[in-house]
Amino acid sequence: MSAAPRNSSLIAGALLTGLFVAVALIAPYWTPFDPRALSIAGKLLPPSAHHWFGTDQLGRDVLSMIMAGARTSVGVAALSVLIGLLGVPLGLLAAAHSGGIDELVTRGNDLVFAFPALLLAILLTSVLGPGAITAIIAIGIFNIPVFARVTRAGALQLWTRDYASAARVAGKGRWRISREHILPNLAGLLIVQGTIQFSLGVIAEAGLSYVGLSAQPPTPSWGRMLNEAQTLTALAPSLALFPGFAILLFVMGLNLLGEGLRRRTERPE
Amino acid sequence: MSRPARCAVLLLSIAALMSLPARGAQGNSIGGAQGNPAGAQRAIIGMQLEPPMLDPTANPAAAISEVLYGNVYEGLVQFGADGSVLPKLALSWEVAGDGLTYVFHLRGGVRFHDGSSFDAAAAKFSLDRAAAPGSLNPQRSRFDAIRAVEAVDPLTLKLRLSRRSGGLLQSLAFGSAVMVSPQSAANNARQPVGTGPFRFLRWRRGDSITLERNPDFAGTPAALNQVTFKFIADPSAAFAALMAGDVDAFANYPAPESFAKFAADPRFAVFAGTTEMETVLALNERVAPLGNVLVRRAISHALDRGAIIDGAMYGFGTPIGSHFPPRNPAYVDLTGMYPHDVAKARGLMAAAGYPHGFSMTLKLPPPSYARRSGEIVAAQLAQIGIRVSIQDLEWAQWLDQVYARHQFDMSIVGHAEPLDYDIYARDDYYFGYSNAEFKALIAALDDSVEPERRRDLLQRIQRKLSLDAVNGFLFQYPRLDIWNAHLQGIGFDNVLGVVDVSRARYDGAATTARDAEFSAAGAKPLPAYRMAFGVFAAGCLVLLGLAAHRFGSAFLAQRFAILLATLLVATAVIFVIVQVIPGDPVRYMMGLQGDAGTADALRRELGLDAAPLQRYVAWIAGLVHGDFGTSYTYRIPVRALVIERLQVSLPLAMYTLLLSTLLALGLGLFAAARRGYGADLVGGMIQLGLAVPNFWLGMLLALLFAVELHWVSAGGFPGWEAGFWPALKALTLPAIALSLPQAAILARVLRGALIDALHEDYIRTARAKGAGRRQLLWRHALPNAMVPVLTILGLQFSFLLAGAVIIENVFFLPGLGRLVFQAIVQRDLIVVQSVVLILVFAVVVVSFLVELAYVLVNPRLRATYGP
Amino acid sequence: MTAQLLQIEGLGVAIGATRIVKNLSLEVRAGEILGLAGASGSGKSMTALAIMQLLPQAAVITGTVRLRGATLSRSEDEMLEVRGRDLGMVFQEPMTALNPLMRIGDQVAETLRLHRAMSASEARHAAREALDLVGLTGEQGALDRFPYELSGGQRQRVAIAMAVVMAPPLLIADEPTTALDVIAQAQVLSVLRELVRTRNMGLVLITHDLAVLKQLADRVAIMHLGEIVEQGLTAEVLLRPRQPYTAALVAAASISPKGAARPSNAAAVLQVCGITREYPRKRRSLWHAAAPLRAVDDVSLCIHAGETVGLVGESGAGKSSLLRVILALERAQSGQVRLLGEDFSAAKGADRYRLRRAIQAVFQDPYGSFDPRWTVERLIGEPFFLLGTPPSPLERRRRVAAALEQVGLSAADARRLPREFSGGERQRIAIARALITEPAVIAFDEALSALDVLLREQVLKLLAELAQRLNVAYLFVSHDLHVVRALAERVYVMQNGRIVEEGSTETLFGSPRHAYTQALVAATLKLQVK
Repeated sequence: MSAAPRNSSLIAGALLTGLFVAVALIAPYWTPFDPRALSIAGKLLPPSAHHWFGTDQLGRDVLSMIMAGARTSVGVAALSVLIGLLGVPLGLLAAAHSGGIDELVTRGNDLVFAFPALLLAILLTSVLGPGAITAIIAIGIFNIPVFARVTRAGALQLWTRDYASAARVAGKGRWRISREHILPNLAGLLIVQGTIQFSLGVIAEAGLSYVGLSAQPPTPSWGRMLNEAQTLTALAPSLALFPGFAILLFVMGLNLLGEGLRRRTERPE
Repeated sequence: MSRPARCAVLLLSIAALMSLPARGAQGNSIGGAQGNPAGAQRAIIGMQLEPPMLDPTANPAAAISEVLYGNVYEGLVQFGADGSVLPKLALSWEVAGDGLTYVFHLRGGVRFHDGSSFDAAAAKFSLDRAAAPGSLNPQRSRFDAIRAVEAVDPLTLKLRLSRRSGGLLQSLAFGSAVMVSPQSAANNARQPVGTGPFRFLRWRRGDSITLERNPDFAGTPAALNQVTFKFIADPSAAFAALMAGDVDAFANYPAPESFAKFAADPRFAVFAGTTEMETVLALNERVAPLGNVLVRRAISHALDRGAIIDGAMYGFGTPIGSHFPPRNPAYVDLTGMYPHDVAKARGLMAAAGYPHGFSMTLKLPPPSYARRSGEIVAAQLAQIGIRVSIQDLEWAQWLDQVYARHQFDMSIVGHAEPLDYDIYARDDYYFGYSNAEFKALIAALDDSVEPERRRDLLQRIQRKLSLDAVNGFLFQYPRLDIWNAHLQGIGFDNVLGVVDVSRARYDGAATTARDAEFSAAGAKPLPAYRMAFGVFAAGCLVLLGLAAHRFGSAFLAQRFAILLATLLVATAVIFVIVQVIPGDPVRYMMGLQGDAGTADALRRELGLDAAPLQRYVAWIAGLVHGDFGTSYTYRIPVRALVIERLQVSLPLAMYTLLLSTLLALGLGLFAAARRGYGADLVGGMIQLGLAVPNFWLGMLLALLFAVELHWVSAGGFPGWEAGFWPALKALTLPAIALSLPQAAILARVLRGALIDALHEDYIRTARAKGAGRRQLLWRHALPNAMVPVLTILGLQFSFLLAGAVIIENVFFLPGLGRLVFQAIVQRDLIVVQSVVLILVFAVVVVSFLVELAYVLVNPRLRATYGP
Repeated sequence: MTAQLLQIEGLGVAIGATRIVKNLSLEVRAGEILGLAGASGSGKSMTALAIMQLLPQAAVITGTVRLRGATLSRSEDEMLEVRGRDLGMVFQEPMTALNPLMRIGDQVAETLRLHRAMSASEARHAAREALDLVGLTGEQGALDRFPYELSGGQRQRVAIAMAVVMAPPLLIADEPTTALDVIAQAQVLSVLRELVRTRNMGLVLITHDLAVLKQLADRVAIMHLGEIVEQGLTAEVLLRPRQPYTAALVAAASISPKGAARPSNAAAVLQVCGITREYPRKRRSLWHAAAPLRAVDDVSLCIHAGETVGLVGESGAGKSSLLRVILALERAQSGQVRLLGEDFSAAKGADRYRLRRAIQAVFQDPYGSFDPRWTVERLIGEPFFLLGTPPSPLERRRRVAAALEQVGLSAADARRLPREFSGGERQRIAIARALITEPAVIAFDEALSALDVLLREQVLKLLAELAQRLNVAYLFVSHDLHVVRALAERVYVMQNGRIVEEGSTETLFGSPRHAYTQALVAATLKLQVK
């Protein structure tokens, strides 16, 4: 092929995602103001040169809170994707052994999918108590079957390739082939799925923290900022806008990144 | 299957789906039009908390009294605004010299709503019932002093006490001591019957309670024909509802930050007063540093009440220095005891041996006053070296961890019960304050009836609590009420927080525009719904029959076996999860009051005393018979609750699906048909739709269309009996908020599938035949692309049934998701497990039906399933 | 003298800077069949698509195409009229060329309804006639069937019916029989021939198979790298090629049959005894179990040391299932596979590894045979896993290099990735991998069917030479009788899971006894040049 087609969504996605991840990494060390410092006198200030995004109902700097909230968002979503990766060996196992194990994994997947995810997450927070860790577990659990399903489907396809048969003729066992041939060739697919789950995780975290079940105060989180802003819309509408746009842009960045990566992996050899 | 047969099946199932709301429309618009006599006076009053049941003598929830006390139920006596005791059904009373005999003279000619007359016998029945051993009365211990109740004559009631009880008259003014009819008392939880100016009309659980005027009322009849109490838990939804005119009043308005806006708006009248609720920073004296009075005093000095009231309550609330309401005549202002003084506080910390401070957790219950105050308190305590980590709890968790098991360091909570200073004399109370001197004061108070002496004792009680700095006393909670300026005579300012509508009326300019939301008749079962469900069920059966015909009985049998196995595993999973949830449903129902004996009785009644395995088996056995159990809180069958909620969730899901499908079809076809700028634009819209969180979208939509433009109401659901269009209108914003992200997903799948299909060989074949772009797209690509879209649609439908929970919260819709959400919060475990199971069932069935449908539609797949 | 039907002058197709078709000129008369031949990638299909103007948007077409004297417009709207009415086209892949959701009657009728105002019943009637014409008749409700219900050959005939239902003066058929087995191929070709005869239609037949052309075409044009290198009457071009490229093509296509079988007194290296392989079928009724699908039914065969044995039969005959059982990739329900006299199917542990070394395989798809992320050295060395103690890296490299050289590649290729090789080279790498454990038998599963004629010939030569040199036995599974004839000494014919005939190549092809073998041999087009 001559010049590769311009992959603008990859670039835009990588830039947006990079921006938010960078902010998440910087936030613990530097924010314009201490995101936890209260100033009752300076509450609900409109955006200004001093406070770019204004202040909230307790006088905290909204920009600083959004920066600190990025850390919660990135952290929860990333770790829940990591938990979800537990589904990869399950999917590999299911694809490698048709029959009983496959049936078990598939049915297990269907069962988890059949549960109303959000309600189960709420239920889990009732068991474990609200907090970022709970949110990670609650979101992560539902990532497991997603990865298991994607891995299984991809692996089943790779198993029909002749190189899988060739490896078996070379005497290798199913698990070894899964590790040496199947998994590396699924990496692209899994990375793409990872970014998708990452973006879904960001939205899910925002939803959970909106109902007060994710990171606890005074740790800022976008969803809780939105919840708190809701009654203040008459006084300070910007409070409901900035965290919303933060979620929107970050998720959009991740989606574009996923789309761009998918196009790259799908490009013919 | 032949082509016509397949078409027929498709049409039938579509028709069955579509006919659900449509048939509702026909049946209802007629009823709605007839049911409104002209000139009716009606009011809708918003409040935050919904009563779990309607019998104040069987459940301590304050919301029961707030809605029903004085309106439906009446007591022998009632509280005046300052906490004094005034006559009600008892016109007067005498207390014998030794304080052991009370004689009440009752009002004549009073009838209960069930037609029976109120007399001394009924009063005796009511009091005996409340005090009986095994009674579920939340304040049974308050009647311990009563030895005997005698009906001397129909209008004279005599109480004999076993000991002097200074608080007896106050106890009789509580909701737990209302007069009930011997005929109907057992049904009061669902069908309350009292003597008040209003009769109970209906209760739409999760949404509203409606009362109607009692024409036989003995006193001045009420002016309003109907009063609806609408339950809006979310502060922002409360704001939106008032602004959009969805409610005429809001009692105990929960968002002080926006109160000033209403106060300045001539359309509204406002009231800002105080309540009986003392908001305190509760300290656990059992934890080492907090057992030290010096530390507690240091904490009191560290608190800046002004800043807390400003920051958390926007200036509403009265600072307090002890546990006593400022409006009580016996109040002493002790706020000067511990002025905000960080230096002094640090000195006290050092003196107590903590110059470098210590770490503590602060466990906060859900209300926003607690959460907001918590953040400020944490920041203030940090200044004297106390490092506070905050933990937000649900009420059930708070009751379990803090209240029952005393596993906490600090907490912030409002004590709303009137005259509740005696809690400091209880050893097992959660603060862990145990002081002989204080207990002596309380005992002396109970033994005294002379007003002077009582006043003196009450003041000594306040001083003692302040001196020991038992808790950080923050502020007396404000009473904020907002109502339509045309609505007059509504009363909020009383001890029990009752919304007194007995004298409420509209002035001449009152609107009747919203009258359409009411129907004269109660909620009747809707035959149209049954028909729709019938058609739907018939459609499913036809589908199953065709599947059996085509794929054979073994296929269906296998599918059913898998379905059953899935459900069985699901029941086990759900049950186990529900079992390990900490928090006791009974504890939640009893709240901050109630005693152990009552709790045990309730636990037995609910069957919660059985072993888990036994309960599981009982649950499964019930399920087999189609019995999902009885809700702990609402005390009605779970099935009835679910059917009620499905009337919102099902149409909402279908409405959303319809909107998202139409939108996605438009976007997907446009994107596939166009290239360049147009397709990029659609691509951008899809990306935007995928990224926007639906609850944020809902918030913005409500702000724009309800609060600013007044096009639709900000939330709530009038019910299908209010007519098809009002109901549909109420669902429109939520449906849009839900459907945009869904449509983006669908459109992306559809666009991808269309583009894939357009690259298929058969498209080239069709082009070679001379087919143009339109034919390629519509005849060849679209049918093939619809197959993956159908799968996604099935998934989305299942998701929408339960996944709308956050949107239901934003728009305060009484849907299925919120039912489970509330049930989790209230630990109504049977509702949680049954409804989650029903949802799992729905998902499994819907995905099965979708699978069948598309196998039948798609001949390619038939080969893999078929013989 | 019949008039010129199609005249192409100076046709060029370019995508970006790549010129795919260069300055091509052709003529077709009514009633004439023009064969367009050439190796894959020579630009044959692009020429056809350029005539139809169905090329991808990025392609730039130059030159003129005249149909019955009128120049074809470049406007899409005008071409919509022409396609289907004046120009019909049939594509290579019958499995994907039909809309899977549309009944075949509707698909045939669609051509009519796109061009003529016609009632549904009229169109249906015409569609039925067209289907009759291609021999899809006599069956109840043939119009109402879906493509999935038809075999490949039947689908290809539906595609032809769609293309000719408007009776266009010219039909273009792009590799119409490549994806079909020999018997279906014969049927489709006879349909095409009949159409040309009865309708006096022009036909451009594109194929890489010279035997097909010899059978069918009046004239042929040979394409190479986007240009026509030679054209003329079929017999002349094929018998007396003037260009060296044509000559090479003809030579490669007419492989000479293998000589007589060597006397096989050698020991049997592979014995297959009574193998039955069944696949469970979906249960339909709750009360009756479905009979399993018996893919391999009591098959026995035997291969001696150094012998080359062919296994032929159409797709679905059970060849691949049998091969997978022999390679121990699948388990048989009954029967035994014996390697070097020992029971391979029951071997466990070290024995299994040792026996596995004695049998290796080369698979069909040269692209799917290799993990795209592995280097050639790692790929070829993968069977070293079978050695109890893997060789040292140095030894490993030496042996991979030796194997590469044996198949005509260089030792330096070991460090490259499979995507850097052409299809023919990849098949050599696959052979090198099979040779690395010095096996007694190598099984080939349709190993040459993805290669075009010139490459196929080279690999065949290599295989023959290796067999001679290394005394390794081959089990050669193929549906392509030419290849089997060229290589095998002995042939087994398989039909419906059973071996129906066995014999030396010469006798079996010379005088087939079983009816199926006879049909197979008869349908096979021969390109006997000399």
